[in-house]
Amino acid sequence: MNILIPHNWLKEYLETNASPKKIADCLSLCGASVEKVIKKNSNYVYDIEITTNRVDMMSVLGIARELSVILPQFGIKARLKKDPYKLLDQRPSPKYGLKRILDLTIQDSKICPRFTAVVIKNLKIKPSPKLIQERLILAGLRPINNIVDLTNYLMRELGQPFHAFDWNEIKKQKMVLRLSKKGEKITTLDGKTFDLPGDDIIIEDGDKRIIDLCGIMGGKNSQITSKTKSILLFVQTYDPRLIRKSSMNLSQRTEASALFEKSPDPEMVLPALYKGIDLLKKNAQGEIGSKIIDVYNKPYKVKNVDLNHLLIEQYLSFKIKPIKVIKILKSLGFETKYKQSKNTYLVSIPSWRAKDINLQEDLIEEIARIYGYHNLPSKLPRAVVGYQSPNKSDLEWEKKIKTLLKGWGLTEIMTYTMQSRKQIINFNLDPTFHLEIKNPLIQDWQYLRKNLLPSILSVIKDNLGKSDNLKLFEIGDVFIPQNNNLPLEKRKLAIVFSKDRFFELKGILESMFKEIGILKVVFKKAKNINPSTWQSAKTATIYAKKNGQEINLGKIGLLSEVKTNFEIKDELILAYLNFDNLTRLASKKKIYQPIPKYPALIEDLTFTLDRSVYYGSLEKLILNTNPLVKKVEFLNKFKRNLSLRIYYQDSKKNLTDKEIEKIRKQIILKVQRKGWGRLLGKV
Amino acid sequence: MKESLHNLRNEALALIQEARDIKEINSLKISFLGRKGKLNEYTKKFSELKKEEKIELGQLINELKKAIEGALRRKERSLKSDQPKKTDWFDFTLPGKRPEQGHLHLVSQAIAEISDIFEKIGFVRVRYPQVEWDWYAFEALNMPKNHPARDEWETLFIKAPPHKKYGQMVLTPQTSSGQIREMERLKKPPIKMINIAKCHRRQQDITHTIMFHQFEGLLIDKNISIANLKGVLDYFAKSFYGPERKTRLRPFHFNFTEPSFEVDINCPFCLGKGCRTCKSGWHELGGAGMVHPNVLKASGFDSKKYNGFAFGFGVERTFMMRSGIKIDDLRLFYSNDLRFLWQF
Repeated sequence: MNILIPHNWLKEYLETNASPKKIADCLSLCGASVEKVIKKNSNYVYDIEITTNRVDMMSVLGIARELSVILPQFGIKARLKKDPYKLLDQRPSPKYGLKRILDLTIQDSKICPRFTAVVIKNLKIKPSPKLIQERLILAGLRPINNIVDLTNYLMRELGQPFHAFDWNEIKKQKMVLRLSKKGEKITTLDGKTFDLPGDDIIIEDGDKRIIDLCGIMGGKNSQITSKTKSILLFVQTYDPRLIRKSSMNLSQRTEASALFEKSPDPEMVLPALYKGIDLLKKNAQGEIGSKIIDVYNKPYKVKNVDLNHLLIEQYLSFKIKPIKVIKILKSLGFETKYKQSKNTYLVSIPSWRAKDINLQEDLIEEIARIYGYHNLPSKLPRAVVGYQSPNKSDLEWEKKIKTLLKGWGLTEIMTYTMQSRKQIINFNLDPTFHLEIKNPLIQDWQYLRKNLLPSILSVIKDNLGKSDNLKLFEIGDVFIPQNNNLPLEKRKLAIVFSKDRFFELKGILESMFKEIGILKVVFKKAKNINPSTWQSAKTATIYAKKNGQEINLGKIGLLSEVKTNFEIKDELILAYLNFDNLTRLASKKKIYQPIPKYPALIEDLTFTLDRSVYYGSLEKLILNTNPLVKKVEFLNKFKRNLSLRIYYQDSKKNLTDKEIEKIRKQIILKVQRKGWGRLLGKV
Repeated sequence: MKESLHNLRNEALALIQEARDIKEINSLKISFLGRKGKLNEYTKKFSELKKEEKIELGQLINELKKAIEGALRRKERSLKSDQPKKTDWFDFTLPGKRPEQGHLHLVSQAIAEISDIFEKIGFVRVRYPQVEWDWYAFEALNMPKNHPARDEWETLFIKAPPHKKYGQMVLTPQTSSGQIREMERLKKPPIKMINIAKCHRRQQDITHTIMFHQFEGLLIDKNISIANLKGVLDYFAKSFYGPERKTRLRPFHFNFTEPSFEVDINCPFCLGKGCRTCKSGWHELGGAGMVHPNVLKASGFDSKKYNGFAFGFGVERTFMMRSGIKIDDLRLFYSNDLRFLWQF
C-alpha cells in the first residue's frame, strides 16, 4: 500500500536535520521504498510503498519511528518525539464521575478485539485550522469540517482508523455490534446503498437501523452534519479477514478498510482515543460527555523470541558484536537480553510488531536491514550440485526446434492459455470437456485450452491484411482434464502457413524431423477427422516408425469451413504436432557411412501413373527392387506423368549399363504388374 | 660483380613493387632496361672480361633482365586493372538476397538467455505444472489462509473438486510452487534450481497481463548467506545487462522468504547516481529472499541444518529493463501483432 507523508508533519514526531532527499534514500534502503518525493510550494511529500506486514509503518508515527533508527546508521542524528505509547502512562484515568451512557452489545469479541468510544458534547462544527487542512491536502485527503478532518488526520498520523457518529442519531443510545445477515441493507456516507452479502461486521441502533459498516465506512443515517452538537468518537480493531472479505465483496475500498484488514495494533487504540479527545477540545471546543468505554478482553501479552547469534553471522556472512545487535534491536523497540553462555538473545516483541515477528529469522531481517543490505558483501555460492534436470531433453529439443523454425523464416507467436466459449465452439470443439475457471476475469478467458488452434486462428484473424505470407508457429501447453487429479499438461507444436502451401509446410516438417533425428516418418491419409474442421482430401496423419510401431506425431492438412467461423477467407495449411512425442523420439544419434569409392549411376525415369498411385508407394517399390538402388528422388509431376531419379551404386565396383538395365526392367515390370502405370518413352 | 648484380635485382624488384602508377613504371623501365639503363652499364663492362666470365655474366644479366621485365609487366597489369573503367560501374548498395527472416517471440529469446546464464553457474533448469494444488501454490509456501493472493480477486481458481490433502485447484500465480515440487523431488540438499514457466494472475492492464512468465531460482544447502544471494544476482545482472551493471537489495515482504528483498538494478544511463530517466538511479527487478523455515519444514527439510535463498523475477519485465526496449504496454507481448513480433 502506498501512503503520502508530508515532511513537516513527519518532523512533528521526528527530530532531525536530514534533508528530504536523504530521508527518502535512507528509508528506501533500510525501511520502506520511497517511490517519489514531491515538492509542493515550500513543502515536501513522500510517496511511500509499505508492505502489508508493516501496518505499524503506515502512519506518520510509524515512519518517524523507522527513521529514528535508520538515519543514525548513516551518521545522521535523529530522535523520535511524542511517542503516544509512552505518553499513555501520563494520562489521568477516565473520569469516574461521568455515566456510561451507551447501551452496548458486542455479539462476539473475536470480531471486535478492542472497542473504545466516548461522547464529546457541545461541539462547534466549523472548518479545521489551516495547518490541519494543509496537511490533509498534502496527504491526499480532502478537508470537510473539524470533526471529519480529525478522524482522517489521526488515521494518517497514527495508522489507526477513527469514526465519529452523530450522538443524537444513535437511537435509544443503543448499539449492537454483530455480523450482518444476507440481504440486509446499508447506505454509506458516500450515498451508495449496499445489499450486504452476509457476515459483514455492522452496528445496529435501538431503532434497528444499521448505522455502520464497521471498519469500512459509516452509515449515512448517523453522519456528522453542520447541526451536529455531540458525537460518539469511536476507535476499534476488527477481525481483519472479515473486513477484507466485505470490502472486496462490496468493492468498497477505503483507507480504513485497507488498514483494518492488516491487523493494526490494539494497544494503539486507547492512546489514539486520547489524542482524539485532545484535538476535539482544541479544535472544536468539545467537552467529554461520558465515561470512556474500553472493551478489551485479551490485552497484549509480551511475546518473546529466542535468537541465535551464530545464525545472524551466517546470514550476514561476517562477524558482528552482540552489543551492536542489541543496539539495533533496542532502537526498534525490542527489549533484548544477551546470554553469553549460550551466545543467544531473548528478545521481547513490542505490541506493534507482534503480528509480524515470530521467528529468529524475522529478527535477523530487522538486524540485517538496519545494518543495510547494501553493506553486505557479494559472494557466489558453490557451483556444482551434480544432478541432471528431469526436463533436460525436453528443454534442449524445444530450444533446437524453435531455432530451426526461426531459421527457416517462421515467426513464433505466444497466445494466452485460456480461451472463450465462443472460440472453442467455433473450432467445432465442446467446451464441456475443458477445465473451466471458477472466477474468470473476462469471458474471453473462461476455459483452459485443450487445443492451440482456436487461439492461433484468432491471431490470424487479428493479423489479416498485414502480410500475404504468414508463416507462424507456437509451442504451447494444452490442459487435458483428469478425474480427481491435476490436468495433464501436454505440449503441442502448431505451424500455420497462409494459402495452400502443403508441400512447403511438409518440407519444413521433413527437414525438422531429419534435424532432430526422427528418420522414419510416414504421411498417411487421415481417418476419422471432422470434415468441417479439416479438408479430408488434403489432410494426413504423420507417423514415426520405431521398433515396428507407428507413433502418432500429429496432423498436417488444409482447414475447411471452420476458418469462416473465425472470419478467415484465405486457405490455411496447418500442422499440429504432439510435441511430447517429438522430443521423446528425437535423437542425437548420428551414423557414419563410408564414403563410396565408386560413383553412382544416375538415371531419370518418367512414369504415366494411374490416378490413385501414391509417389511414396512407387518409391518404396523401386527401393525394394534391388539393393543396388541406393536412392530415389522425386523430380516433378505433371498431370499423371511423374519423373524421378534413381541412383544405382555398388560399394565394390563400377556398375555397367548392362547391370542396371536388368534392374530397370524389373522395376518397370513390377509397376505394370501392380497396374500402377507404365514407363513413358522407351527403355 | 655477381654480388652487385644481385643487389641490383633486389633494388629493381623493390622499386617496382612500390610503384604507384604507370608513369613510375615507365621511368623504372628506362632506368633499368633503357639504353642508358643500369643493366646496360654491365654490358658495357663486357670487353674487360675473360671469355668464361663473359658467358657466365651474360647468363646472369639475361636472367635478371627477364625477371625485371616480368615484374614490370605484372605490376603494370595490376595497376591497369585497378583503374576505374566506365563500363564496370557496380551498385553494391542494392539489397542482398537474404534468406527469409524468422522471428522468435521476445519471451523465448529472453528465456533462452536467462537459462543459459544460470546454467553456467550450476543452476538446473526444470519445469513444473501451471495448474497446481493450493498446497504447492500457497499453503506449503507459508501463505496464510487469509492472504489476499489466495482470494478470488487475485488468483484464478479451477472448477474442480478440491484434493483431500492438497486443497483447491488453481492456476499458479508464481513459479515458487516449483520450489516445493523440486524439494519433493530431490528430498535432500543441495538444490540449485532455475524454474521458468508461465504464471497467471487475475489482472490485465497496461502493466499486467493475466498470463506472464517468471524465472525462479532456488538454492538450498548448508550455511547459505545473504551474500550468496547477492553474488548470484550480481552475476546475473552483469551477464544479462552488461559488466557495469549491478543489483541492490531493499527490504520487502513475502511470506515464503525471511528476510525478504526487493531487487533493484542500477540505471543503464547513470549507473545509480540518479538521472532524468530513472529519478532514483535504480529500477525494480523483482523479489527475492532467504527461504522461510516454514517452507523448508513443509517439504520435510531440516530447517535447523539447511537454509537457502530464492528469487522470482518476471521474464517480460526483466527483458524490458534492457536499454532500448521501452515497451509502454505490456499487453503487446501477447497481442501477437506481427508488426510487433517482426521487430525482434
